[in-house]
Amino acid sequence: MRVRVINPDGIFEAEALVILRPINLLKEVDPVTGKLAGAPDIREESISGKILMFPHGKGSTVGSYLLYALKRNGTSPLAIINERFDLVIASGCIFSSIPYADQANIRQFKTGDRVRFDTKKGELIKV
Amino acid sequence: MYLTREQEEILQGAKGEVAEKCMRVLVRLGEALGAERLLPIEWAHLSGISYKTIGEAGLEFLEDIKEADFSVKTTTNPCGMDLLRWKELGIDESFAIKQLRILNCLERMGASLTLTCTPYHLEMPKFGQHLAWAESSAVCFVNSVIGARTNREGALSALASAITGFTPDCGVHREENRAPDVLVKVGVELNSVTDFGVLGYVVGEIVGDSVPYFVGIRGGIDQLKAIGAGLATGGAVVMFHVQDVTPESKKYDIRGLEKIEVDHRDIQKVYEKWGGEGGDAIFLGCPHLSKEELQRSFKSKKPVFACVARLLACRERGSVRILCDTCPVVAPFRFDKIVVDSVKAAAYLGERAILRRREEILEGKGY
Repeated sequence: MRVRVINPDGIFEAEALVILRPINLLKEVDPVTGKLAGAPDIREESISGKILMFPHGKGSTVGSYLLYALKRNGTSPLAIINERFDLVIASGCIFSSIPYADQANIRQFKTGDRVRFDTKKGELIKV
Repeated sequence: MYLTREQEEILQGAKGEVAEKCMRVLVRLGEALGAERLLPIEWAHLSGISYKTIGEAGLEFLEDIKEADFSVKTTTNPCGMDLLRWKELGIDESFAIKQLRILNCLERMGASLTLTCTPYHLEMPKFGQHLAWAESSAVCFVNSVIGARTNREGALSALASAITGFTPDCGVHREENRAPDVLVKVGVELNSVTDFGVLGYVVGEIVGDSVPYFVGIRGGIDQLKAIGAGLATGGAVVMFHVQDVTPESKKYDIRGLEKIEVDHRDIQKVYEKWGGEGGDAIFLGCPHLSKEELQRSFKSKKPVFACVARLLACRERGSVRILCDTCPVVAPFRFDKIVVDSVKAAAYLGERAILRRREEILEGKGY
C-alpha cells in the first residue's frame, strides 16, 4: 500500500498494533512504560517497538510532548501511521525522530501482522 | 518548498540543534500542508503551560530544550496556579514545584510570562500581522475581530515558530482561506455575553472547521470574544465574520452561501445540558476577563472568582476574588461542582460544571 511519508528515516519491520478509533495520547499512554494505561478497550498492552496505526489523534495539543517523552524513555513505537494528517502527531514525531506517514488505509492490517514500512518508497506492506 | 538563505542556515544548524529541529518540523509540516514558503511571524503564543496538562512528559521536554532562545515576541497561556496565592487555594507543594520548573524553562528561553489566554487584552495585534498562536479561542478572536493572521497551532508547532520566527504559509495566512463558507442566520436575541458563547458553541458543532458568516447580531469586543471561544470549543473554527461588525466582513459576497439558522431552542438546549443547582464555587473569566469586564464583576452579590491576566489585576472589591495566571480548566482545584458563565469552561469541566448567564450570576439569581 502507498502512504504519504511525512517523517522519513529508513526501512522498518515490526509487529503492527492497529487501533480503529482516534486516540488521545496524553490520556491513554504511559510515557515511562509505553503501556496503554488509560485504554481499557485495547487488549494489546504496549505500543513500544510496534508500528502503531490509528485514524488520527484527538484531545490535547500537548500530545506532541508525550511522543517526545516516549522516545526519550526508549518506549516509543517504531513508527506511527495515520489515516488523516494530524498536526499534533506529526509535529511530535518530527521532533522526536519517529517515522510518520498518513493517508493509509489502516483497515488492511490487523494487530499482530508483521509489517514493513519503507519510508523511501512510501510503502507499507504485510510480510 | 522555497527557503530563504536565513531559513536554510537555521536548517543547517547555524542557530543550534534545537532551532535546527524546529526548522525541520516547520518545513515538513509546511510540505505536508502544501505551503510553498515559510512566513516570518511577529508574535508566538504558547499553550501547554500547566503542569496539570503537560505533565512529566512536557516538563522533561522543556528542560531538554531550554538552552534555545525564542527569536520573536513570545507570550504564554495560563499555568496551573496563581503564582502568589497557590497555597491558600489548596495547591500541593509538589505540583507547585513542577509548575515553577516549567515556567523557569520558558522564561529562560525568553518568553514573557503573561499566563493568560487573552494576550490581546494586554496588547492588540495589528490588522494583517502574521502570528503563530496556539490558544484556540485567541486564534479565533484575532483572525476574526482584529484581522491578524494565525492558524490554530499545536503546542509544539507554536514553540517551533517561537524559536525560529517562522510559520508555514498556509491556512488562514492566505487570503483565499479566509472567505466565509456558511451563512449563519441568528433568529434569537442574545442578552448575555454567555449567550454569545453558547451561540458560538452551537454553530461550531454544526460547521466543524468551516468559516461561518453571522448575520443579525451586534456586539463589542467581549461578545465577539465569547463567540470565538464557543466556536473553537464546539468545533475547530479558526475564524468567523459578523456582517457590518468584523473588519473583513465587507469583502465577501454572501449570496449563494450554504445557510443555517439558530433559534432560541438551540441555545436553551446547551443551558439544559449543563443545568443544575448549587455549586461549590463560581468562576468568571473563561477566556480571561478584560479590564472592563473585571470592573463590572465587582457588583456581584455572591462570592466569585474572577480570572484575569495578572497585568490587568487591581485591588479586590466587594465579594470578588481576583485569580491570576490560571483558570479552573488548567488548575488542579478539588471543587465538585463549579458554576461558570462560559460554555468553553463548561465543556472542559464536563459534569463538574453548571452553566449560568453572567448577569444572573452577578445578580445572585437562580441558585
